[in-house]
Amino acid sequence: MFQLQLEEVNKLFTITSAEFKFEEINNEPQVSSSEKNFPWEEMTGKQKKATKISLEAMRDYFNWDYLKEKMPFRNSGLNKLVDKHDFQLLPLETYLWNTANSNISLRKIAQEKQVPLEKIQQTALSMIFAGLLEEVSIINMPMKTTKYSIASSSKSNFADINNTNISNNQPKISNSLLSNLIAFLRKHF
Amino acid sequence: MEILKIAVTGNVGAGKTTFIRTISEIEVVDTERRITDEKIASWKENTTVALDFGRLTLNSEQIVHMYGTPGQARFDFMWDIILNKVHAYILLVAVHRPQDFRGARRILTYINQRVQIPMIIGLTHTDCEGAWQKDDVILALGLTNQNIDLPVVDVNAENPNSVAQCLLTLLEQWQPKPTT
Amino acid sequence: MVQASMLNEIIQKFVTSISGIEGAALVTPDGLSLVSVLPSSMDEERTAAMSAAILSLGERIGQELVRGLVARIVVEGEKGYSVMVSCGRDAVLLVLASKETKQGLLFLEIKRLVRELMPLLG
Ligand SMILES: Nc1nc2c(ncn2[C@@H]2O[C@H](COP(=O)(O)OP(=O)(O)O)[C@@H](O)[C@H]2O)c(=O)[nH]1
Ligand SMILES: [Mg+2]
Repeated sequence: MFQLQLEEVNKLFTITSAEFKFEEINNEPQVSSSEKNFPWEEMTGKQKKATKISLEAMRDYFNWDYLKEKMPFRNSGLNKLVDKHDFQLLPLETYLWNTANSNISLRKIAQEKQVPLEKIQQTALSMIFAGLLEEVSIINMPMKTTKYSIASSSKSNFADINNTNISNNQPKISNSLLSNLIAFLRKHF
Repeated sequence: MEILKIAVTGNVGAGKTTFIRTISEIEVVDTERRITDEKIASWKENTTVALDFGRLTLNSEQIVHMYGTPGQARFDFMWDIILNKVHAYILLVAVHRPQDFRGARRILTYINQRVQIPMIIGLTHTDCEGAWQKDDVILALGLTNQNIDLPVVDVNAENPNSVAQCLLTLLEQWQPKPTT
Repeated sequence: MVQASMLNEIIQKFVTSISGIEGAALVTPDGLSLVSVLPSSMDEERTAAMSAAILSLGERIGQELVRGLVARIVVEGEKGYSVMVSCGRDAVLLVLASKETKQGLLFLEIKRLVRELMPLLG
């Protein structure tokens, strides 16, 4: 029964333009007004995470044309968004997962795996949608040395933004220049 | 001679060239070329292919340089060149073009992986039809789930006061706060 | 482009028939690839953007420093040359040549190629 319902859900992924609204069921005793309209009778009591459904549905998603705009770039790389997961990945997905965080472009992966670039891009996109990976630019410039791994960095990523410790190779800017600029902007604009 | 270098980045049409042109004391050295990409050409005529350059002279010893980067991803090697040479970054996001938010997010991740320098997000085209609300843009850029405390301000790139205000907010990013 | 296959043929022939030429590409002034015959290690998308960027900077320098119209930009590396020339209003030509190539000869061949390509670019 639940499987049949899921098939219906998967079909939704072939709709080319739509807006979905998700509602959370709260566990409080009172039933909110919108929950009254839920199709309670059709519910099986089984659950599945939306991200898992999306990954599975996208494997069968044929109309990639509509997602062209969203495709990761060929020169992009992939980073993990989570440290671990409980998804059942297909071989190519597993490969992308294992090579993530290592500064390899999708183009290189396609060359190495001898798989069409489009296929790599599509697989990467479905994993991005599932919240497993994120697209990152990789170019020759060295990455700043980080104390934390990317995967667990979501909190600390931007934390030091106020630090005067500029990590590129620029000389520090004097307070005198900063105050002069502030005065200049206030006076002239 | 002390030079403060600020980069202005963002997607095509975000307002980078306009921003620099509005505040620069010299005629902006631009490298604009006619757009041939049909999809973009339908709404924009020119695009920056190398960089825009503007300047503000404070006194004989102190000046400000501003560099605008090209918007399209194929020019990301220019971000690299510029990123390594600037003290601060302004990311402009046109809020009436939600299809570009992903690109903006990508630039943000890119910068953040490489340098930790003062940065600000300027929301442009807030006066245009289809403009998203600030909170929604912040959400779309993934700023909330990363717990990022990055100033996000509205800016009209065509208005000198607004551009100056944006720069002032950026300057507040330096610590300790410069005396005012 | 209207004559894509013909452009492709001409560039292909140029690369294979002249010794020392290792690749060539035709790109739009805003950095999109039109035709490219490049070593497989190079990314056509990024190469196109780079060619457009450096040509525009070179032209800006020519203008700013009153050097007049820019004939070509040459990047001479340890392993060879990259030459960028404007090919009318609608295209930029990039040619890669080995270190052994004679410069004068190379420029001459490029000039000839541009003359052949121009009418097709309209
Ligand atoms: N309405 C409105 N137009 C803007 C604003 N900022 C820039 N523009 C316009 O948007 C267009 C694209 O700006 P441009 O500076 O070329 O964008 P770039 O591609 O980022 O360099 C120009 O016509 C500007 O005048 C804004 O805040 N509001
Ligand atoms: Mg521009």
